[in-house]
Amino acid sequence: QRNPAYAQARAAGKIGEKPDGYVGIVGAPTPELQKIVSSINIQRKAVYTKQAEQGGGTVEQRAFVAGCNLIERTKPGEMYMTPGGAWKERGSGAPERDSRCV
Amino acid sequence: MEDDATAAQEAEDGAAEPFARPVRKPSRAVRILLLIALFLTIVLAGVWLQRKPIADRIVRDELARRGVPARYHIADLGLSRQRLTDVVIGDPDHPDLVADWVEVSTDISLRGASVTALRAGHVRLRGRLVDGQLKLGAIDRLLPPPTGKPFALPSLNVAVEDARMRLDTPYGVVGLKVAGTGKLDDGFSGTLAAVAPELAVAGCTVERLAAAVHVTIGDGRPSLEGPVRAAAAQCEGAAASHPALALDATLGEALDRWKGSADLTIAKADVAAATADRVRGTVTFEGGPERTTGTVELASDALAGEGLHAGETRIAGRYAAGTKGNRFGGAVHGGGVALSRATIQRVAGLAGAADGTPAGPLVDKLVRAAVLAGRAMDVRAELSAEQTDEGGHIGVSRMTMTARSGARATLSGGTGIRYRWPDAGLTLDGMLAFAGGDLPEAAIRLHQARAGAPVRGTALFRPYAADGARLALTPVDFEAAADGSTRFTTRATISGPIGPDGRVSGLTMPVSARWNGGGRLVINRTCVPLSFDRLAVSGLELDATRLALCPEDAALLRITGAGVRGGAQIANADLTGRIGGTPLALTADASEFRLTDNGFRLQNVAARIGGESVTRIAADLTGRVGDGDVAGRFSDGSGQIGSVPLLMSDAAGAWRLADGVLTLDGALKVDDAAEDPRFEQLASDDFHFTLDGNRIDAAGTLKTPEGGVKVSDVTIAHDLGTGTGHAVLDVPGIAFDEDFQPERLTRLTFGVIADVRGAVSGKGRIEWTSEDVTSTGTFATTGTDLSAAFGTVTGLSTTIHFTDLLNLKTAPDQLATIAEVNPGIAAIGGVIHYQVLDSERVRIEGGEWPFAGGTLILEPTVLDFGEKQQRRLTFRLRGVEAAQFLQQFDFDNINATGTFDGVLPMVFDESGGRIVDGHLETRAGGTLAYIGEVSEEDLGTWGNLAFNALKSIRYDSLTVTLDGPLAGEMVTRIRFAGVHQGEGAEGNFIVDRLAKLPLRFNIRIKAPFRQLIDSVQSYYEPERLIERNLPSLIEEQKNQAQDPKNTAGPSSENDDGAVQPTESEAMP
Amino acid sequence: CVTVNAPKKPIEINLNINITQEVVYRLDQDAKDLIQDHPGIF
Repeated sequence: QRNPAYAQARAAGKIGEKPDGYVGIVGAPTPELQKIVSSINIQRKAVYTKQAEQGGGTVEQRAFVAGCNLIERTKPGEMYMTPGGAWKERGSGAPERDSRCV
Repeated sequence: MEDDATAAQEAEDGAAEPFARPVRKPSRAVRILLLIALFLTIVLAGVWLQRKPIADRIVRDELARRGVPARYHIADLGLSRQRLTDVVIGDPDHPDLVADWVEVSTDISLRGASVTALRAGHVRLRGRLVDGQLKLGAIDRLLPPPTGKPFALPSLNVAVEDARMRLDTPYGVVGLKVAGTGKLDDGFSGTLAAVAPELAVAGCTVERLAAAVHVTIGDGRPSLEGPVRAAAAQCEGAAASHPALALDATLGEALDRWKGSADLTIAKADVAAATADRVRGTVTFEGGPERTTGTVELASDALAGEGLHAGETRIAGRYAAGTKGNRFGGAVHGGGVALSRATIQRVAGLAGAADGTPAGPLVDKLVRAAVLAGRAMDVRAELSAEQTDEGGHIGVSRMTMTARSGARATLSGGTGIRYRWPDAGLTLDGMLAFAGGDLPEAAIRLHQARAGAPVRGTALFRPYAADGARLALTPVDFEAAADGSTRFTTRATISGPIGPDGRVSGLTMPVSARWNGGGRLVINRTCVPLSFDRLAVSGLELDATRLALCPEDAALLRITGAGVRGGAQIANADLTGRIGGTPLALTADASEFRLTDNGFRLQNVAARIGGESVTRIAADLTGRVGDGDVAGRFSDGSGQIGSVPLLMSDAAGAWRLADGVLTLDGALKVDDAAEDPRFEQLASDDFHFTLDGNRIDAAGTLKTPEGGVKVSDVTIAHDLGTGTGHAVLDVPGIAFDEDFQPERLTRLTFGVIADVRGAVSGKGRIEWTSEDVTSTGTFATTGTDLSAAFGTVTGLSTTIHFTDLLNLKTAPDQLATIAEVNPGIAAIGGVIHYQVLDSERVRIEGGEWPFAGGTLILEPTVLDFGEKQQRRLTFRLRGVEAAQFLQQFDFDNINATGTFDGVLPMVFDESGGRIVDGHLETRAGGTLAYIGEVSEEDLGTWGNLAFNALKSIRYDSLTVTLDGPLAGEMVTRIRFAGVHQGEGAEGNFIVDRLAKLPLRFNIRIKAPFRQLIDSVQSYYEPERLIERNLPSLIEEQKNQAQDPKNTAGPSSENDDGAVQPTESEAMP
Repeated sequence: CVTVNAPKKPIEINLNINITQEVVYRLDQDAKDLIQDHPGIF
C-alpha cells in the first residue's frame, strides 16, 4: 500500500531505484518529487539502521544489498540506475546491476 | 190604506235588491200589470179589500215563473208603503235571503211607480263572488238583466237595521254586516262590519280580518272610515302580525276606484329578513285594482336585520302597485343602527390579521373604527325598488351613515348601489366617500354600466396612519379589462413595523390588480420595481434601494376561494446597510419568497461586514418567517472572519435570526489562508456561530476530513465594529502512529521527518486588530520517536514557546531532550537548546550528550530544512574515557584506559551525515589490552605477530582521525606512539625486539565506525573473526595474489592524518 | 635464528579490512525479508 503520490511518480518513471538502496529523481527535480523522495529515503534509512543495529553490518551495506534486490524487482517500464550512474528503463530482460550483487 | 199590488211588487223588487242592486225603469212585466190595474180600477173597492191575496197570487206566479222558491207574508200593502214579513227566498234549507221584515216605499207618479225608499229589519243574505260578478243565488233571477252602463249607486233611500251577508269569494269567506240609513247615492250613512277568517288574494293571506267602518255616501261615492284589523298578514317575503288600519277612504261611483289614507299599526313586521316591531304610520292610496299609487310613511321602534339592528327607523316615500308591477321610491332613516353582536364579533375578529406586517396597525385601527362605528350609527338613504313579473331591483342611490364615533360614509351621485334579481347582479355607480371616526378618508368614484359589467372610476385615498404605520395610495384607477373583469392600478407607499422589533419605511410598489367581481383577486402579474427608504429587522438595517420584484408563478399575490397564494422573486438584490452598526454590503442572485408558507430561498447570498477588516459570509439560504423568529438552513457557505487567517468553506447547517441574534450551527471546512498553507484542510461538524449586534462568537472542534481525528478546539471572538478579536486553539493531544502521520496535518514535515510515534498537545492564541495579527502558543511533546534525514530520534521531549505561532517563530533557548539520536552512532541522553526561526529553519544554540565518561558537544549552527544543501555541524568530544567508550559499545573483552578529546566536523546532506576530518587525541598515555581468550589459528605469520603484539600495549599517545559517512564505511587511522608491551602481553622474542623498535602502529581500518569497533573487537576474538571474516580474508588474500589493485597497498601518505577520503559511498 | 633489525621507517601494518561480495551474499536474505515487511516504502 504505497503512498499514492510515490506510486504514481514511480509508475511515471519520475522516480527510480538507485544501487545504494535509495530512490532518486529521474530528470528534472520538482519540490514535490524532492519531498516524496526524501520522505521515502528517510523511512528506508530508518529500517536499514534498525536492521544494522539488530543484525550487524553497516547501514550502507544493508542499503546496498537491498538496492541489489530492489533493482532486480523493478517492473518493466520502471526506472533504475546502472552501476555507472545512468538512469535506465527496465526492460523485460535482467537489469544491469553492480557486479557484487548476488 | 196601502197602495196596490204593484207597490208590493215594487217592494218585492226592492227587498230583493238591497243596496247592492239598483231599481230601474219598470220592466215589461210591470207594464202588463198596469193594464190589468186599469181594468180593475173599476173593481177598486172590491178588490182593495182582497188586495193581499191578489198580490200574493200574482207574486207567487211571477216567482214560480222565475223558478224562485220564496216564502213571505204580506203584513201591509199600502199604496206607498208595502211591508213584508218573514221573507225567505231561495232553497228553504239554504235560503239565499231571510228577512224579518222589509218595507218598500214606492212613489207612483206619471212616469210610473218608482221605489223611493227601502227599509229592512234583520236581513240574512248569502252571496258568492264568481270571477268578479256577485251571485246572490235565487235573487239573481229576480234582478233585471245587467245593463252596459258602469255601475252606479241607485238614488234609493235605504234603511237597514241589520243586514248580514255571507259572501263566498275565491279568496275566502267574508261575513258582512250593514246597518245604516240614507239615500244610497248621496247621504247614506251607516256602519259596515266585515269579518273574514282567512283571505288569500294575490299571493297574500290575511288571517281573521275584521273591519268596522262607518260608511257614508256622498255624490254617489261611498266613503269608508274606521278600523280594519287582522290577526296576521303574509305576502311573498313579508309578514305582518296584528296589522291594524284606521281607514279613511272614498270609493269611486263605480266602486272601482278608491282614494284615501290609512293609519297603520303592525305589531311585528317581517320584511325581507328584517323584523320591525311596533310599526306605525300612514299609507295613502289612490287608484283602482289595476294601479294604485300613494305615499307610505312608516316608523318602527326596533328593527332587527340579519346583520344589524336599529332603534327608531322611519321609511317614507311614494309607491305604485298594480298588476303590471310594484314600484317604490323613498327615503329611509334608521336611528340607533347597530351591527349585530355576531357581526361585530366577526369584524373584531379581523384585528391582528396582519400582525407583524407594516399593515398590522392599519388593519387594527380600521377594525377598531369599524367596530366603534358599527355600535351606533344613524343611516339615511334614498331607496328605490321595483318588482315586475320578470324580476326587479332594489337600489340605494343617496346614503349617509353617521356614527356616534364620528365616522361618516356617504354615497351620492349616479344610480348608487343597485342589486338586481333574478340575475343577482350588483352594480355600483356613484361617489362613495368615507371620513372621520378613524376611518380612512376616501372618495371613490365608480361607474358600472350594468351588473357584472366592469367597474370604471377612480378612488382617492388620503394617507392612513396608525401608531407608526402609514399607507399612502396614489389615485386608484379602475378600468374595464378585456376579459370583462375590473383592473385597478395604483402605487402604494407603506411604512410600518416588521415582526416584533423590525421596521420598514417608504416601501413603494406599483400595484396592478385584476378583480373578476367575484372572489378572485390577482395582484401584479408582471415584474414591478420595488423600493424602500430603510428596512430594519433584528439588528440588521438596510439603506434605500430599488429591486425588481417579479411574481413567482402566475402572480405576486392571488386571492381566490381556495385561499391566498403567490410569491415573489428578486433577480439580483444589491443591498447596503449596517448590521449592529457595522457597515454591511449584501448581494443575492435569485431570491424567492412564497406566501403559502412564508418561506423563502436566497441563492448565492454574499455579505461583506465591517469597515477595514471585512468579514465575508456567502451561502445559499432557505428559511421561513415564524411568528417570533426567522429560521432555515444554509448550504454551500464560505467566509472569513476579519483578518483571521482561517478560510471557511463548504459550510452547511441550520440558521436562526431571533431577538437580534443570528445563530448558525452546522459543519464546515477550514483552510489556512496563507499562499503555501501551514496546515491541510480541517473539518468541523459541531460549528456554532452567533452574531449579536456587532460581536461574532464562533466555536467548534477541528478534525481531519478523513478519519475525523480530533486536532483542536477553536473559539473565536470578533468585534465587527473595531475589527479586533482573538482566537484560542486548544490542542488536547494529537497522537501520531503508523496510520496517522504529521503530513496528514501539514506539508511542512513531509520529506523532513517520518515514522513519527508520539503525541503533541498545547494551546495557541491569535490576537488581531484591524491593522495587525499577533499570535503566541505553547506546544509540547514527550517521548516522541521519529526518523529524519540525519537518522532516527527516540524519546524526544520538548516544550516549544512560540512568540509568533502563525509564522512558527519561537523565543531563543528552547530546550529539547532526546533519549537517543542515531545518525549512525547512537548518542544517548542529548540536551539541545534551539530556536525555531521560521517554518523551515531551526537555530541550534548548542547540544550536549554524555559520551563515554566525557561529553559530546554540538556547536551552534542553523539547520535549514528547506534548502537541499549541505548542513555543517561540528561536534566536540571532551574527556571521553576510552574504557567507558569501549564499555558503552559493550566490548567486554577489551580493556583500555586513557581520556581523549577531539573534534568531529560533520556534514549532513540529503543522504545522511559524514565526518570530515574528524580528529581525536588522547590527553596522555593509556593502555589497550585484550582480555578475552585467544585461540591460535592460522592467521598467517603477520596475523599472529600483530595479534600477539597488540594483545596488550601501552601507549604514550593515541590519535585517531576519522573520515567518511557515519552510516557507511569510516576511514579511520589510528596512530599509537610510544608503544610498549602492557602487562600480560606475551613476550616472545620477536615482540621484545619489536618493543625496542620505534614501533608506530598505523592501523588503517577502512570500516564503518561501528564496524571499526566491531572489527577491533573481532580482531581480538579469532573465532569471531574466523566466523565472520575468514572466508572474505581468504578471498582477500586470493585476490591479493591475482589483482594487486584491489588492496589498498601501503599508502604513501605520510601519517599526518591527511587521509584522502575514499569513494566509500560506492563501496559495499 | 632470524634477526630482524628495526627498519628505520616505522613498519606500517595496514590492516585493510573491507567488505566485499561476501557481505552482499550474507546480508541478501535479510534484505529480501526487509523489502517484504515494508511494502509501503520499497
